[in-house]
Amino acid sequence: MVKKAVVAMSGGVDSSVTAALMVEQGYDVVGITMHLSDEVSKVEQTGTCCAPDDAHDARQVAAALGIPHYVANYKKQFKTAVIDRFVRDYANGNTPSPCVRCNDVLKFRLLLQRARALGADILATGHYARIIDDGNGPRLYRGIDHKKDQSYFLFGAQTDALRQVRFPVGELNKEQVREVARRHNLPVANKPESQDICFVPDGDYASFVEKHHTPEPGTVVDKDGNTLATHAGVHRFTIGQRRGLGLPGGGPKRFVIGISAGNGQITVGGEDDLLANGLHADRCNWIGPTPVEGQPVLARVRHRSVPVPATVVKAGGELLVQFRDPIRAVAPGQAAVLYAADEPERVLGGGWIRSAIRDDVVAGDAVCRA
Amino acid sequence: MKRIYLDHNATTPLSAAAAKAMSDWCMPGTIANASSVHAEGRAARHAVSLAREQVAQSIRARPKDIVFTSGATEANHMALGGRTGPIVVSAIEHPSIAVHGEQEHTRIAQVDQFGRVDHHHLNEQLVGASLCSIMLANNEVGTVQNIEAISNLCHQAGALLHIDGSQALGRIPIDVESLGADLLTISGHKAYGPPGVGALWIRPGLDWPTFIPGGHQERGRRAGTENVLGIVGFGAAAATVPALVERFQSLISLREELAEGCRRFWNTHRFSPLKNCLPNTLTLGFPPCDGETILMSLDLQGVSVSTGSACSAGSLDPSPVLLAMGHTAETARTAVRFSLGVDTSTDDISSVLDILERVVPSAAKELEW
Repeated sequence: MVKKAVVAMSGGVDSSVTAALMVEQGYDVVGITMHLSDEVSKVEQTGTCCAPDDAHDARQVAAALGIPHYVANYKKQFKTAVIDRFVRDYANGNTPSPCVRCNDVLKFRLLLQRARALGADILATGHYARIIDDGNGPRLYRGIDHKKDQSYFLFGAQTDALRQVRFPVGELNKEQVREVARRHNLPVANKPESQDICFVPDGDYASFVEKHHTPEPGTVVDKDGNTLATHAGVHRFTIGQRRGLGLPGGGPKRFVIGISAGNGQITVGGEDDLLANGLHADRCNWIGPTPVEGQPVLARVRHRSVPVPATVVKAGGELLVQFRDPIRAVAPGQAAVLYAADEPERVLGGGWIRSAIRDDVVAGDAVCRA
Repeated sequence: MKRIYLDHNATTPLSAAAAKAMSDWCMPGTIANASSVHAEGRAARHAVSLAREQVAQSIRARPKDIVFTSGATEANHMALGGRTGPIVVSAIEHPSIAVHGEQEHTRIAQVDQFGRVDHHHLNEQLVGASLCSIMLANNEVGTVQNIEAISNLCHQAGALLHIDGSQALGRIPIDVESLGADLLTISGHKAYGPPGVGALWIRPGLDWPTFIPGGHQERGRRAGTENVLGIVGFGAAAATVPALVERFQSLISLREELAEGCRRFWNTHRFSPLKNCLPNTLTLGFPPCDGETILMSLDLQGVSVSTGSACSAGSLDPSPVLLAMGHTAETARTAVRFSLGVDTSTDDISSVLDILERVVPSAAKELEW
């Protein structure tokens, strides 16, 4: 019997090609466009992750491929799981990673569940990542095209979900993806890309947060607690930020090194003050065996950064990691994703950064700093 | 796979009579400007006149009081845009009416759990109103209003009554006189005619402002070269209205077979009223299933239904109609609308029941996580 697959179709080239490849592979394909937010569709774009585009493009692609296509309403779930969380993170002085949340909750939970309800065996999405099962269960790997790799956004996917998930474009580079699109005459072959978060198409996160949350002004202080300036709200800052601090020019370079939502204080310091020796993360998810103490790994603390050598101090529900060399601007709210040191393509899993650790990391850190 | 179409409230299939009438006006070389003086123009004008008589006859009206429009939406705007002063609309109107409800000086008449307008509440809203607009039959759940009583209330209050009869034409009898209407909207594609054509009936003697100026067509009330192709299709469909109405009456037993069949395997929730309902309409919930999932599953199995009125994005927010009837968003989310048509057979209903019995338990599992 022909296997049925649901493809999450955003209208962008990656998910359109995903649908085409699933058709080529002989699946009985059903396209679903998730209608996530009314703020999404106002600007034409495709995103770093998998931004929902105008459903119109997805419909055209589905028609070209001759597959049924639906637009499914997930606005309420997206608001609760992603947008509200995004706003709350900024209001709490964290730097959110909404694409991870969207994948975890919307794609690999709700949409997969919808696919199962429709009798599908498989959910395919246009992510640049790979899933390989060597008999011990599914393992997650980086996409072949490292420039497009989205494995960072996928660390939270549950093993059970990954058994039914496929990422066909993860085996290709961007040029090959466009080639497939051209081969199928897909109307999206030459669509441009944007780097913004889908529900903040203009990239102005501060204004977006202010629409949903009343900010409280606070102060900018130095490491000794001296007040240097005032600011309009902690949501306007992220660790490592240099601009928009409201400080007079001419002095030494100063960066945000700490954000305290409790008292509204933004602490600034020099470049050295940004360096962290390790990090503490929680709400971890491991794809395969949980890393063990002393295990060498490669750690990635934001989507666009290169994974750096590190050692696991503790892993489980929480995570403590010591970097080999200190790294700058570890921001609470972002994901810490670990890759295997001996197999750098493979994602071990990760967690949500709670704090940077400036000193040497010891196993007691998780408790005392929690 | 033979498909089973149970979405007649969204649109009806084009009837053989309408298709035949239209094919005469859809040939290579067809010349169809009903305003032209020459022989070709006269032929087109004659066809439009005939259609106007057919459409008028279907609602027991005079041909000269019919204004052809691009559809019911336009007719509704023509009706509601024609009066200044406070307007009253019910809480379950079509979006083309409801959008007027968002304006200043507009009042909303509440409905009960069956979708029936609360006459007492309506009466309060009518004080000082110039126009009231109520749909004769509701598209989402099928509720048929007691329009005669509503008409009396309106006229006692000095307000005109516009009736949106889009969903009623060809399904239940419409007689503009006995309904007590001042204006009435009808639509071609809900009565086995083509989409893109509708009409507004305006009571004789009622001076109604021009809706689209810039031409003499439709007695100067709606300018623009007539849509001859659509109008002749609408006319041919309208000519079959008495037969359609009779056939629709017999759909009640099929509809109840469907309702009863569903109840046998699932604890369904019936949104459509048992009495005073369109004969073909059954809106059911299969809690806790998401109506959207059932719609998709049925479509993939060859059955066409709807979860409510289709919206432009193609995805649905909780239906304002179901919310106005007092349902929670959670409950409204479960609704699936089955709307039968003249070709629906007993076999169709038993096939759909078989498919539902497979699909619904699977859809229910979606929420188990």
